[in-house]
Amino acid sequence: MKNLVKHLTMISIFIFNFSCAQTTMRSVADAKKIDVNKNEFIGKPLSFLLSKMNVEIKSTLPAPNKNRNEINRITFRFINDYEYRKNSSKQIKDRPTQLTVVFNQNWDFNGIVCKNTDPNCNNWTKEDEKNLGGLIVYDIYVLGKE
Amino acid sequence: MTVPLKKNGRIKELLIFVRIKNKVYFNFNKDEENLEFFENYYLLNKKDIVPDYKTSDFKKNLTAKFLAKSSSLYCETRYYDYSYLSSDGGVTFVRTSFQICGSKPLHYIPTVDDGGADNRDYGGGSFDYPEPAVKEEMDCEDAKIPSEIATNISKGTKYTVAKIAIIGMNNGVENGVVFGNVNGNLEITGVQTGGSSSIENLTSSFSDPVADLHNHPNSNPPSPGDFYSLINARNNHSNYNTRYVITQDGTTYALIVTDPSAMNIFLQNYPPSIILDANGKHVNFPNELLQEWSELRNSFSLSGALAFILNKYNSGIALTKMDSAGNFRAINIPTTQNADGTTNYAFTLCPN
Repeated sequence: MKNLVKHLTMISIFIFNFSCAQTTMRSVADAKKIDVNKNEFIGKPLSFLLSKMNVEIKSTLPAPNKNRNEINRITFRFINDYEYRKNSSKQIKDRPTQLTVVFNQNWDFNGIVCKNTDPNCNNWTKEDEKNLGGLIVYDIYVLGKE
Repeated sequence: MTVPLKKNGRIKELLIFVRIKNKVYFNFNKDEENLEFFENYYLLNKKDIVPDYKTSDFKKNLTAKFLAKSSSLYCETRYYDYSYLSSDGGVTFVRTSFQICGSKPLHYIPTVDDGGADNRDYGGGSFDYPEPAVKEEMDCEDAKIPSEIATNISKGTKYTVAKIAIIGMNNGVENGVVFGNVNGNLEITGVQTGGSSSIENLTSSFSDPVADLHNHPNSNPPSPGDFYSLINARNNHSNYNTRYVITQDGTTYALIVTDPSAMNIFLQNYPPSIILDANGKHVNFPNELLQEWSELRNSFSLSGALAFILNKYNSGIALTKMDSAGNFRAINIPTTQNADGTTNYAFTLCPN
């Protein structure tokens, strides 16, 4: 009887762990897993997704800018802007992996477009995380070769 | 009369009606060459079709259009043949043809069907139909005639009246009018009002609308939504080739249709992303193109980004900009590659 209880407890713990498993990005290649399992993140704050991305974000492409009320989408890249631009002659699908998060606002991209000459535009900082982390994820897509 | 029957965007067979005395007969035809004839006909840019090489004043009519800008002229004739049994028991043969000429070698579809798969051999390898072409450099000649048409309309009285009326609205939203050809004269609708960042479905009662004009209450050039709705307008009205956009600072752009066939191939390959919300309908490029467009807006230029995408993906529509002389000139974005792989983009206007 003791053994039965022990086994049932272990199975319950295993099932509990399995059912609570969340997609986590541990490498750039895992970005596709985020895309495939995007429903885990849609409808939740960006900060939740960021907490599951254990890969350093080295550059971003916000559209049209990082204003909390104007941003419609932001692309996270795992190489810096210059390294990314070295691939500009390639088709998007053959460029380094980039993960884009879409928010349900400003679909017409109104607002001043931030330029990559401005480091505040393409860098990702703790301040950005704090400022944009509360935005609710509407969609996610991943483009790139990995 | 022959009616091409399409399935999955491809002509699969022809329904042929023949009237003999007071009766109409019909039959189906699947002859590959005949199917090819119609495939080609629908994919061609109709403005390049000439009625008859031998009998028309073809050289006189087309010299300005083709020969003046090229030392070479390439023409080909395509035939459509069918036969039917006459009431006397004999066989009657019917031949129809059209001829197309251009300043470049012509590219036709050599085979019609591959038995159901959606891959076709265009002579240079197989790929999904239709071909998602990518162009390296813009051919300014392609935009020359539609640019001239845009310029001519904009130098007329009706355009001036429309522009003054739209600017005079001064209501912080988009306002627009449609231009129509009425018995050879250009007429305009009244001003129609849209939203703060889009004006959907400019309408008119014209049987032959040819262009429209709207303002952007900011400095943004034409948007992907403007581009896709021009495709829609052009597909509903065969002379609807121009969409003017005036920005808040007075800069004036025009989207012009340069190749309707390419335009529809683009539409099949890159259908718009459409979002509906409380603020209306938002039309944009699909994600992959949107990404490239956003990158260029971020690193290069707003209007340059749209012009580059439209040309690179052979959209059949070009973005033009009015110069200081009042002429619309296509925006051309030549690129150069650096040794480290980065790209330099240059903003240029095609010659008048």
